Amino acid sequence: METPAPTGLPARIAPARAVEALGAVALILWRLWDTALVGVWRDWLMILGVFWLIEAVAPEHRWRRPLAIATVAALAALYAVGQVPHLRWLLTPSP
Amino acid sequence: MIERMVWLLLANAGALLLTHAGHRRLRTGVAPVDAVLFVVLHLLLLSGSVLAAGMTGALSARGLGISGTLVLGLLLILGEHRRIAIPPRPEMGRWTLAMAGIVGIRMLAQVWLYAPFSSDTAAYHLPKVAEWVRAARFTREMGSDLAATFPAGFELVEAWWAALLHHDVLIELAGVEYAVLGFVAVRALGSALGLSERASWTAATLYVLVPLFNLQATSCLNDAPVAALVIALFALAAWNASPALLMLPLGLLAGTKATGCFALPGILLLWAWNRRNPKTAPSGKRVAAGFSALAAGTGIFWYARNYLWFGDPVYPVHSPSALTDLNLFHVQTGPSWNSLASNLSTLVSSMVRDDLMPPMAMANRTAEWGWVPFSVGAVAVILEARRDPRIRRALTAFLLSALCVLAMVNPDSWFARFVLFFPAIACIATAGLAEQCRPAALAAAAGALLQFLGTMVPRDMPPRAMARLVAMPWREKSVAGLLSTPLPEGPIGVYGVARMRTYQFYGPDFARDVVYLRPEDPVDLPKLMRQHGLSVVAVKLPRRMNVQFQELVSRGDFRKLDEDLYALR
Repeated sequence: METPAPTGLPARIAPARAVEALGAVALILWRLWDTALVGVWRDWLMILGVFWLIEAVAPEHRWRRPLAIATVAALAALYAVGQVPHLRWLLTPSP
Repeated sequence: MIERMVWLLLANAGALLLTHAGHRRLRTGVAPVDAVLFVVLHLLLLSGSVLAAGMTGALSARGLGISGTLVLGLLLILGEHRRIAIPPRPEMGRWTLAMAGIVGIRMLAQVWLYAPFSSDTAAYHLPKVAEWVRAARFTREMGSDLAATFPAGFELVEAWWAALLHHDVLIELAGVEYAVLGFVAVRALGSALGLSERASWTAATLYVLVPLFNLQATSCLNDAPVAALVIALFALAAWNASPALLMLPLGLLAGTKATGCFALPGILLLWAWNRRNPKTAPSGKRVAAGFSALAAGTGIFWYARNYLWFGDPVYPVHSPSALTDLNLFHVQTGPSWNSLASNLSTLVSSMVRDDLMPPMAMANRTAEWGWVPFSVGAVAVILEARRDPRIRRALTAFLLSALCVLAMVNPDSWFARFVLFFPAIACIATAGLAEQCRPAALAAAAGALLQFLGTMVPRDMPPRAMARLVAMPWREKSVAGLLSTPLPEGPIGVYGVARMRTYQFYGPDFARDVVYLRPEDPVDLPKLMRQHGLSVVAVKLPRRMNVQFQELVSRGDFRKLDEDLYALR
């Protein structure tokens, strides 16, 4: 049985682009301040901040979908790299 | 044991039918909310029953069993069983249904195969349950750990399963019941945020597969129950539920762990945002008010007890002593910008990557939110929040709650457990996106599968030790069986000034008497042990005191049996 959602708000109301862009820039600046510069390219929130900024300011285009998929792939790869030592730990017999 | 199993069945049948009777008068007509209310009400009734039994000395198989049978009989006479309506099969989709089913079956298998293994559980959550079950009532003796006096709402449900069998083989079912709450709560929140029926069940399944939530469900730790209650509150707030309904999970939350209450600002914000929407109200207002009072009682009980016994409702938080450092006892009081900055930075820079430690129920230096929230979930949150104001508002509320919690807790290696509710919003966004975008669905499915495989065995113990625990016969299943020397027959003394695992000494059937010794000086220990007729003692002391104790060992007063375990000569 489908129960109607409680809110009467219409979907598909995007927030103001400028506000969004400011939010994304703030996120990027925070990551630049909080992360060592050498490792900033593999900071997941930095990647996400750049993705958000592009989504906020770039016009609708067919490359948006591949960009989202590439971002997911990049984040999954970052996570996977961190899991490798645990797999090794699992395969090594414990004392 | 046969008699106890009969009591177990009868008491649970009585509790379920009583939940059904109460739920009929509480129903709102909104299916996702009603599912949440059923589970919350069941947990509330179990908690209330154990509270009553604990205070009256009826916390035993017979005490709970006879009361449950009386309730069952009364409800059968009143014809409650004739009003049971089988809920329609959820529209989950084949794959989600299969995955949810497999996760559920695996949880039940883990309940059967595991024994309590995590350090916090053995140090301060379960020793008090063991004391209660042995005495068939609440006891002032709760163990040697400073955290033993914390609210024990989750332990009430654990005590239900342990007292009925006088054995801990099913004790992890308490966590599974809360996992069910998390499951239906995420579904209800997803529905409120505009997800289709199928997508909201997908979100719920993804959340149950969040590694930390999944591992905690069968580890007797209370962070997953807290997360489930927080999400239940978010779901009720999103559906603009009446205050009486909100009080049900709130009371349970206050009685389980204070860190859950730190998430309230975000919940209140979401509730305020939804106040103009149609109200979700209970069918019976008086019944709802009665259950609200019971929920408030289960929450307040622990603070009132601490006030009566120790003069401080949050004892020993305001009672710093030299022992606090030794017992890893660092409890922050009040908000702190430094904690917020440090916790937030550590969480997003390091913990959320889950790369420092393997998945474990204790989540040491990791967040254990898993592949899905980290990858597809993070992108989905942005896309869905841009698309739908309902998700945007929920995300803002979740962020506010998380920030409030992070500001209220001390930076340590375990604080990420207190924001375990947060990945729920990522799971909801993922499910929403997956419905519109096939690659996102495939990424979510692959991530869910990896999370399922990664949570087969918690790594709180080495795999070989875990394998030995799993292989033990159920009657003897205990981490005590992993000690190099078998525990001797008879009572054991515990002299634990530093944090130590004492639950294992009781045995899975709570047969062994554990005597907590508190001499001012280690030199007085032999005399005290002789007074209590003890020949074996477990000792964990800070450095200076341990030097004094080791002098007694080298003098020949004690003989070492195992790590921290000594025999009096």
